[in-house]
Amino acid sequence: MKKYVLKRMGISLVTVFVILFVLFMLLSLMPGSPFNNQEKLSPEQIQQMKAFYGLDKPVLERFFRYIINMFHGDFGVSYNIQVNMPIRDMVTSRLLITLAIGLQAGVLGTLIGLILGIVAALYRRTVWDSLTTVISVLGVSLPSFVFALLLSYFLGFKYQLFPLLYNSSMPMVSTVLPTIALSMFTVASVARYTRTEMISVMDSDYYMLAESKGLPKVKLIVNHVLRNTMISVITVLAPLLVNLMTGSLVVEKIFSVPGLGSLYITAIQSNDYNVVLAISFIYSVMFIIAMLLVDILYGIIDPRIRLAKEE
Amino acid sequence: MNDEKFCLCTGEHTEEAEKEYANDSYAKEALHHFTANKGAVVSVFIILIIILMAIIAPILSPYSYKDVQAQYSNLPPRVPGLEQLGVFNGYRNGANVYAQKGALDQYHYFGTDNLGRDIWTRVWSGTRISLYISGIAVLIDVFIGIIYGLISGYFGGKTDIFMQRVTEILSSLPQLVIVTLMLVVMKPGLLNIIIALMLTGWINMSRIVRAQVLKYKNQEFVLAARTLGVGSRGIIFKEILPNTLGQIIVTFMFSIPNAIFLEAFLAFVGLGVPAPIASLGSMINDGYKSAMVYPYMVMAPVIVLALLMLGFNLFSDGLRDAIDPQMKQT
Amino acid sequence: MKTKKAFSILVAAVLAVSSLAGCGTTPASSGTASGSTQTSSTGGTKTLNLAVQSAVMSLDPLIAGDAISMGIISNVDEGLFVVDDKGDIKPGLCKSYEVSKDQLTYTFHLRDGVKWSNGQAVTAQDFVYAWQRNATSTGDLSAFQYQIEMAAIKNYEKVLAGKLSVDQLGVKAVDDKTIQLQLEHPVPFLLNLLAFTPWVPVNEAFLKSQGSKFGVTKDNILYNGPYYISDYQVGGSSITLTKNPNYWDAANVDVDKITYQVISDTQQAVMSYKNKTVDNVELTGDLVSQYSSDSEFSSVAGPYNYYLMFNTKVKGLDNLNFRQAIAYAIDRTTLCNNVLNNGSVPAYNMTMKGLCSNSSGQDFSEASGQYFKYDTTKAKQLWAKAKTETSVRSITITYDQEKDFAANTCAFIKSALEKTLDGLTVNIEATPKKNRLQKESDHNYQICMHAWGPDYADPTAILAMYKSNHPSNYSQWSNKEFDTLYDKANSTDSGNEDARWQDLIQCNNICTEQAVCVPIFQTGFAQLTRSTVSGLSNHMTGIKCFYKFVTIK
Repeated sequence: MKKYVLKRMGISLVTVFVILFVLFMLLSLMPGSPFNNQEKLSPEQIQQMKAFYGLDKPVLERFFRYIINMFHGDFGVSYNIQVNMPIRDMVTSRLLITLAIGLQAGVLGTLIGLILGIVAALYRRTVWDSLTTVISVLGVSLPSFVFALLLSYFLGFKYQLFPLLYNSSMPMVSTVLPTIALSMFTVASVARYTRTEMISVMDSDYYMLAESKGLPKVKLIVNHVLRNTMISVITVLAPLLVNLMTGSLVVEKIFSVPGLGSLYITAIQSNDYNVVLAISFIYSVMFIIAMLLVDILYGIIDPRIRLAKEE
Repeated sequence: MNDEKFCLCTGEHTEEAEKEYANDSYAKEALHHFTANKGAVVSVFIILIIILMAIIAPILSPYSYKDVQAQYSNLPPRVPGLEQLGVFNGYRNGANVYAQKGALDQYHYFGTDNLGRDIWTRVWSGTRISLYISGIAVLIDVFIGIIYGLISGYFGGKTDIFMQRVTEILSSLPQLVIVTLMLVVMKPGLLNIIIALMLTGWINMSRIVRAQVLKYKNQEFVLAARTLGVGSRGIIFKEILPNTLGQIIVTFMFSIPNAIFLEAFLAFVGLGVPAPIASLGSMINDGYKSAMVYPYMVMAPVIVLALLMLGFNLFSDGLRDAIDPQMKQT
Repeated sequence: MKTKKAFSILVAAVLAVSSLAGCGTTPASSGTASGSTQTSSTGGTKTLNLAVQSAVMSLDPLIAGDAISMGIISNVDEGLFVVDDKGDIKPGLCKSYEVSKDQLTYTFHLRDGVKWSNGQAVTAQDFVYAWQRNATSTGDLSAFQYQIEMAAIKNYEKVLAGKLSVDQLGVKAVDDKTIQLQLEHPVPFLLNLLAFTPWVPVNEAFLKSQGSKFGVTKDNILYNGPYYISDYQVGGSSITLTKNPNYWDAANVDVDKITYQVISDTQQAVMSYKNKTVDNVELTGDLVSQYSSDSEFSSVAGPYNYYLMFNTKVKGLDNLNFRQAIAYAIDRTTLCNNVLNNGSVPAYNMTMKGLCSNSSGQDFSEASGQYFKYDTTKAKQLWAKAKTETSVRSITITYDQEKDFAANTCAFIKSALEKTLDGLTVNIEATPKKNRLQKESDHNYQICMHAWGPDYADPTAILAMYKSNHPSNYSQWSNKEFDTLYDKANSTDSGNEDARWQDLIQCNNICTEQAVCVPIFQTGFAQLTRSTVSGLSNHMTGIKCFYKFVTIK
């Protein structure tokens, strides 16, 4: 197992570098310069600025310099969003906020999704089942920014239950609306997955065996069905959580949350290369970690897979 | 034991038994499963109606999606017949806007936008564009995904390891990141949006196909074919591919709503279809900016999009259950 | 067994992380669900809550290029002059000044006892250093060098070109409290310039001690103005300015605290205003007409003119008839009233209304010629002529995808042109602003939707970029008559108000009439402001508002 994990991590490291390289190439193709006040600068001045930041060097040289600096914890500075601010300072606080909201949305979405899915599976082919199906399908049918606007209009503005905007002095309350808006997709996915998963467990032979042994229904559901369902639900949670982080950019923009996503959009539009690079890097690393976790989890949960992989 | 319970087996009985266990064709059985699912049947109708509207509504409409009539901007919805009932009557804040703007001879079922373009026409031609973009992107995905998955899964070994590394790297780049960057580098146009959507979309398909190939490649019928001297190509396309088709179709159907959604997201970050072309995503994005003032501008495309997504999702669910009731959502 | 354990560990981990995420960020959430923070003037401290679209870019006066950063810098670091809410120039750190008869030498006397936040006195040397720094900077600090040029400080040309040492620049500190400024030629708008951000003083010793960190966060600058930055979160969504008790005029500063809340979505900003979270909000798009009858609504002319900028060196667009045909075919009134509907007004020449007026109170833009009123017959005639002279039948207009209204404007123009100018195909293309600017400076475009806002209240702020040798002359247009008149206005005629006025009006007329750019509309600036707040100005040029003139009832 340990050997497998180590090997996987080694591969992931290589993957990260390849990704960084691809991103670097893509960014070097982006048109326009990254500087402010561009309309007031002469071509000579722009050239000076490029030289100042070392952007006049060949792409490969810049790439290797970037990697070397990265090992020293230096991700460069921002060119135009917060001029000369080290990216590390810029991104750290935002990463925490994005993670916090993502996790909150993940936990909330999973809980509600589980409940909906369980209800739907237990009362299969009843009104409850149809209701949860409609809710879960609507969750993946409504664009998140429309849902966010509805939330903020009704809960934030009309009835004033929650603050409309992110406020760093009350991070819990002010993240309620973004969390709900963000969790919608998770609710829907988890509910659908749980329902399918539970139904397949309840149709399985070992469930019928347990049932025919005359176990009480509650015990049957909790011990046999839920446990088996949970195990497979957890494995789809990791990628879902990562999607929450990257998917937060829309919600962050609408609720003025100072997270990574809103910064990412701005950075792409204004050619702030270092910011784009750093955030893409973070997203990729999150994704890879999530995938690694899933693989390891599979191994822990299902010995057959572990054995297959160790051979 | 009672002798009366036993009787001689006659021809009548065997016929009955045969009827009961009659081996229906796979397709027939799947169709039976599918039609038994009410949601799935409804979804077929929803999708068909929307596609039909997307085809004929822009043709029948007296307006074109790009007709600018600036003097008739921001008209609320007005539908003949319904207006007598007091809904969709072109009134805003108690005044008939159509009368104010001198447009009493016009009927805009969904109203008009800032430029006075007919939203009804735009919504349906937008649906057309959205379906077109996502349909083409997903079709290409399927094509690439099948080939990639078949090769990777069938040949295995070093080929498989290398090909899997490639997909792993591609899929570690979050889809949103790569698509957004791609579209900043290339300029957003129909073709480029399709390319951007396709660029990452095929990975999922290839994974599923590969898993299917791995499942079938060592089964008896394949071994039999190989023993009979069928070549690799024959085995891949004649033996394995037909067995994976069901799963491929399901994944295909699931991918379409995803692609439509991704296109809508691109419009939100300003990388949507070029104006004046409308897509559902770009219309929602435009309408969103006026949502507090003219809510109908965003409502119409959102409702159509939601119905379309609902239709595709229910349809794919039904299809999956029908093709293989044991199959799990991926 | 193993499975069970792993499972429970995982659940515990998820719970722990999520609760950590909760605790870690809630030091004192007392469960106040209502969205409003404190509204203005509750319990002694008067707070002004402002909504802004984006966060602070930089606190270095030579780097800050956006209105928000410049506004903050000018309110925490005072220069020689400030502009009050009525637009009049008022003394800042300058107690008094003398002008020589030939208007070429200015002597400024600083106030006594003005101190930086580190306790050192603000001296004449701080000003001289700041200005010399501007004149000699390279790289990312050089964006405001044109200000030195506009102020026409003696020897500016040679110093900026690096041919003379910066000591030769016509600015010197006579003593700790006196600055002497010598000019090449009279500059009527000099004081107006000096109220702008690049002219605020900088303490050399402090700057040197900060190195490359200068201006990056609130601790990397010194304050001498009516406010200091009390709260600035890196990557945060808000900034707070607090009244500076040591400010020389602290007794006359009414507002104790100013918070900037970054709200990128306009509809959210309006809801926040209605929720009383912010006291002022800028309205855009349809929201303008929605609230135009609100008692707290106000609107002023905005600073930007939107043009169609032609690349006059490409085929087709080098033809004057072609350009003028386009100019006549656009119905600006319908565009402004029906499509934009956001307070924008039609523009009929290069300069914007309200930019500046002469001593008899006449507005420059109104005094200039009004060109290209919507006229389809004229457009068709010109187009017929152009068709015989050029074979180009297809043009592409590039616009910024970040601007909501640009897409609608271009769609309107496309439809108008294709309807009136028979046989012309118009393509419209959205691109990020950075990309558009790149295309312009590479001259790799046909027509761009271009906006230009003036930095100081003088027509040269706009007209300069049509000079043949100006770096921002992206349309590559060159006209001898224009150049001569422009140079005359800034040399021989610069001391004579009337002559200068006439020269510049002619310049404006020439470049408008030649359709180098086709003016489309001038933006409006509409806002909702809490009725208790007064003096919250929105100046068209320079700094939007000096908060020391704001009062809250």
